[in-house]
Amino acid sequence: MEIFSSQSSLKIFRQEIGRYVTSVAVAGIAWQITVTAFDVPKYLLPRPLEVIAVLFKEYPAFIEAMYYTSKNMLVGGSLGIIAGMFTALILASSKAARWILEPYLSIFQSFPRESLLPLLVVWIGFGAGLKIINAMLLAFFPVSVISLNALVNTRKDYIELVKSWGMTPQNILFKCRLMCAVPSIISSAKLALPYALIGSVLGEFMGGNDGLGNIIMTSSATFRLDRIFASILLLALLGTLGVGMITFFQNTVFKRFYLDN
Amino acid sequence: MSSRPKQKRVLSLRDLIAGYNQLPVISIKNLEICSGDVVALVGESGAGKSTLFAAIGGAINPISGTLLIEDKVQSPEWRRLNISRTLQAFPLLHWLTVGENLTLAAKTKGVTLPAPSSILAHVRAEHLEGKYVNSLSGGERCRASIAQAIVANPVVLLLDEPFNGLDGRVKREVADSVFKFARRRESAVLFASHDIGDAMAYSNRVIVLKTGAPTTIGMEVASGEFGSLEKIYSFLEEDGDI
Amino acid sequence: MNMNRLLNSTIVLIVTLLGNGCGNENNSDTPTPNLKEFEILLDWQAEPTYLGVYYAKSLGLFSDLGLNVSIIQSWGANQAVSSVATGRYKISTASGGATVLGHNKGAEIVSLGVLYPNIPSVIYGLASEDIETIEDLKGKKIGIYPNSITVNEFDAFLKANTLSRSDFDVVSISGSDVPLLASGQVDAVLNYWEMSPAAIETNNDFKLIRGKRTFTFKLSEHGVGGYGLNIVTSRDVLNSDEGDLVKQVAEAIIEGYRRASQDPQNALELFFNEFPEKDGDYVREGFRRVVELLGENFGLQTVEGWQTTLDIYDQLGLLDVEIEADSLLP
Repeated sequence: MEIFSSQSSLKIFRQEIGRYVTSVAVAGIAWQITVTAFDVPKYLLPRPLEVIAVLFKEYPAFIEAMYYTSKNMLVGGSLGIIAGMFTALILASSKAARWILEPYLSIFQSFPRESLLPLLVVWIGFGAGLKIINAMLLAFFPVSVISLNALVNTRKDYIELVKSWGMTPQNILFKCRLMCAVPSIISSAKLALPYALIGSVLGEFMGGNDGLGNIIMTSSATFRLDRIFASILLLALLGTLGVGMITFFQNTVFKRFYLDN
Repeated sequence: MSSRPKQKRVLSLRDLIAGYNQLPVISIKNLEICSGDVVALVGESGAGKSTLFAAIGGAINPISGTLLIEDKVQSPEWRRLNISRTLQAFPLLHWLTVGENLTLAAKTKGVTLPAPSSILAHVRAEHLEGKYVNSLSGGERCRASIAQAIVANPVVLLLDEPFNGLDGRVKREVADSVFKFARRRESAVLFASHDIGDAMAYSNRVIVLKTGAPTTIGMEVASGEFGSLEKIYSFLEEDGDI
Repeated sequence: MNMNRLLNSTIVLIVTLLGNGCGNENNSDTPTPNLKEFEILLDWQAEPTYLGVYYAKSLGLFSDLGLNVSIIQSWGANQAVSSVATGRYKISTASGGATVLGHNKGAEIVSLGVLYPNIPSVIYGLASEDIETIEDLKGKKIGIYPNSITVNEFDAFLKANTLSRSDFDVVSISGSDVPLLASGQVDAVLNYWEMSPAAIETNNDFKLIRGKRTFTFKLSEHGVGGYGLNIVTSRDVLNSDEGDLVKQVAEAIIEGYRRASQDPQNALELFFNEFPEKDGDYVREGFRRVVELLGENFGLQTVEGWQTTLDIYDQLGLLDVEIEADSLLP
């Protein structure tokens, strides 16, 4: 990694943050004007200013909830991404493993994994474990499926090259196929992390007393739309930061794996 | 090509029939290639150039006949180390620098590489060591690709379409490097080309493959010989080969 | 019986079966001519709680008003109240708490009649030797539905009994509570008395302890007053030219409950026809509890009754604005 490239990505990162903040601010102002002008009732839409006010007023609770949700997203998401890559590597390494295990990937892809949640609650309870496992479950599949596809469809000329060096199949997998698949794996991680966020929030919807999802649930019992929207805002922030973080790594640490490096 | 040092026989193919699944693709009665030789293989695509490369490289076993390298039937292990090749369009691993590609190639082949720059020096490309593959020009890629093929000082070097897409000056420089390497290392170099002009210009021998079933050697000329280009053209025209 | 008669009766049977099938579809889906389409929203799924609404429909009480009624199921009183406030639905069932809180957020919700004069919420769990009083629940894990109006009733219960959430291990739950209780993930759950507590009580998979499969503490018997299930509309609808119609629909619903409690046998039978997949024992027990919850004078409502409901939410600090109790009445 050249220092130059990470500095320029930092600059791009700062510019992007500015762009996102501006566009959200524009929407917020338009929203505030609209709801005030048309006198939209509070049970339908809160005022952005109320949302910001509740964020400031109750910030310790929101920070705590955000920490809880982001922790589960990151832990569950990372576990899911690692497990997905590991599975893809195993399947890519052996035709027999692929023959027997690939149908499971298709089957598990084909139904919403969220439907397992009620079972998971009964098995493991309401703690952080539920959210982490659900986040992992949701993050796992895009990574395993996309990575596997990338691992078995490596450029033919690269394979021919390393074979001409006499590379063993195992080394081809790790030193050529895996390296070639890095951009795909990173793309899949960009998909997986928001899934992990959804997973941990759905877990919070299912039960427990923590997290932004829990604030959403408890606030809807009392029509506290300002709190709900504040939580949604923070969730969007979390998801965007998560993907932004991966993009940052993509442009720095993993830059060399991209063809236009 | 006048000051040739004493040559030793590197490759000798006798009554060689090779192909895939016992189906003959090429049949070569007698071909000897010596150290320092840079031999151009000409023939239309599908004529059997790759099959011949595969047979020499050991990727396929002869159906019949003999293929001797340094007068011996060599083991696959020996061939893996002593025969190397470049591939069409010079693929190199894009996430590694040229130097790292060379190091990985050497490590995989099990040879110790003093420094990538020492190999790159053979193709006058020391300055490419720290560069990523995608920033290379066509000529630089070609040199880097040849460099990865010679990390283990091969006895036989096979180049697949090495001059494709290069401009004239670069072709000349690359060819010079290849000749120098062949002489210094006492290696034999074979390159496949679909361009008769390139084949004539950058080799000392040209072998024209004659398409048939199986492909045989149609004719051979020495590149420097007067009127050899005309010979090839008239051969191909009467044969309707290209 | 000769061959001919056998054949004839078989044909008659087939025709009858075919006829039945078509007839059923006609009843439920195809609009009868000259009847106006009308939707009644339920604040939950088609449970015994709403048997009176279905019975009113079966008895033709709505078609007497010139209406072809569709009964729409939903997932919670807050959403139901919001949907009525926006005008998407003209009439809905809701809990008293949702009516009050909707009002608080500027939704001019009006109650057309109270079905449950008391809240049906209970804290219950699987029968156990060591739980007899509320004191025994201290330190136990209690599951609450965080987006449900019952949460507020739970807080009112704590206040009334000088307890606090820290006296228990309160945890938010979602989905069915029965497996959570069965697997021991929670010791007790806050729910409606006529719903899953009735389902467990009638399910032989659970053990009988002291003749019961559950322990139950009714919040209404432990200091939480206020109205439960009621029928709501919005002030806008009431002031429109359909105002009289929704009042008549509410009357018809109340009449449906009255007739169902007088002749539960027939009401249940018609309900089973519509929902054959429902567990019979559960629905019977659930409806028995509904009748108990309805009491004698259901359908009536008073300013004082609504004031009690308002006071609960006021004491919990959930009201941002002053609400006059009579603004909740038509």
